[in-house]
Parts: sequence; structure tokens; C-alpha cells
Amino acid sequence: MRNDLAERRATRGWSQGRLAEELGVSRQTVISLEKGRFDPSLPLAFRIAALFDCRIEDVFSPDDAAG
Amino acid sequence: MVPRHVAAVLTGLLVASGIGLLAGAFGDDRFWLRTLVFAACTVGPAYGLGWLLFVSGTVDPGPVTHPEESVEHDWWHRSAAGAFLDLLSVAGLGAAALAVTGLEVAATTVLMALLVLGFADVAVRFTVLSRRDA
Repeated sequence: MRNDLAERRATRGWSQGRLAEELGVSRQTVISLEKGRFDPSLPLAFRIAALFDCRIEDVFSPDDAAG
Repeated sequence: MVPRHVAAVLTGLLVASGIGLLAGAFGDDRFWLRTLVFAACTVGPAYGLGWLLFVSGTVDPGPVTHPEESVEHDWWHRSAAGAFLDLLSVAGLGAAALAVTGLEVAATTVLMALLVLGFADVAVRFTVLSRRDA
């Protein structure tokens, strides 16, 4: 699953550690999420969406969404 | 916090002493030697038990308030699941090999080998996953 987490984080000027702290997960989790190597659980996806004040599908999209 | 650590240490000493005394009582000779060796070998894990009972959960959890949703938790689950299947395969193949060849192997040897294999399997799988995904 692809996501624009890194861009949204950069927009706020947050470090990966700061985002991890906000989400209550490890920094490594944020790193893996941004690289698209880890799909978050539904509760974590909801927290991410709430944190950036958007919908889950605004942040995450399936790999085959681009066609 | 200090009383909790003291309780953990005391628990470790008590449990290790108990296991040592049991091992000494079940042995045929060298009661104190068996008691001391078994107590010394189990004092570490026994202290871990005391730490789990009295200290764990009271320390500052830090910024990770949802460890079950972290990628490390996912690596651990995948490693453990893979190692479990490996253990089943090895145990099955080993049992078949022993049945065919008629070899007699001590149960303690088999159990220890399976334990070491399980630990090593999880450790290797976890390391590979963390290197690949990091």
C-alpha cells in the first residue's frame, strides 16, 4: 500500500520521531510506513487520518490504484 | 520503586533456591552440588519472573503507547509463526528418522535441541525481517 505520510509529515515540519510519538508507535514503524513496507492496522490508520485531519483513503492507496 | 526491585530479587533467589533444592532432592548423590548448580543456572530466569511480577508495568512506558501496532510487533509475530512451522517440520522429520533408524535419544537432549532451534529460528527470522524492512 502506498501513502503520502512523508509529505504530510514534512508539511508540518515534524521529525519521524515526533510523528511516532504522536501516533504512539516506534520510530521504526514510521520509517517502515513511509517506505510502504508496513501496512498499518485499522486503528493506527484511523489515528493517522485523525492526526492529519483527513480520511484514511486520502493518506493510503492500494498499490494497483494507479492502474 | 526500590522495594519492587528488592521483591524481584528475592523472588528470583527463592525460586532458584527451590528449583535447586528440588534438583538436589531428586538426585542420587552430591545433593549440595546439584542444588548449587541448578540454583545458579536458574537464578537469571527466576529473577526475570520476579521482574515481570513486580517491576514490569510500573516503569515509564515511554512514547510507545501502542506497541502492539508497531512494526516490531509484526516482525515478532511473523518470526514466531515461521519458527513454529519450522519446529513442527523438524520434529516430524526427526521423529520419522528416529523411528526408521531405531536410534535412542535422551528426551532432555531432544527438548533442549528443539528449544535452541526455536530461539535461533525466531532470532534469525526477526533479524532478516528487520534488515529487509528497515
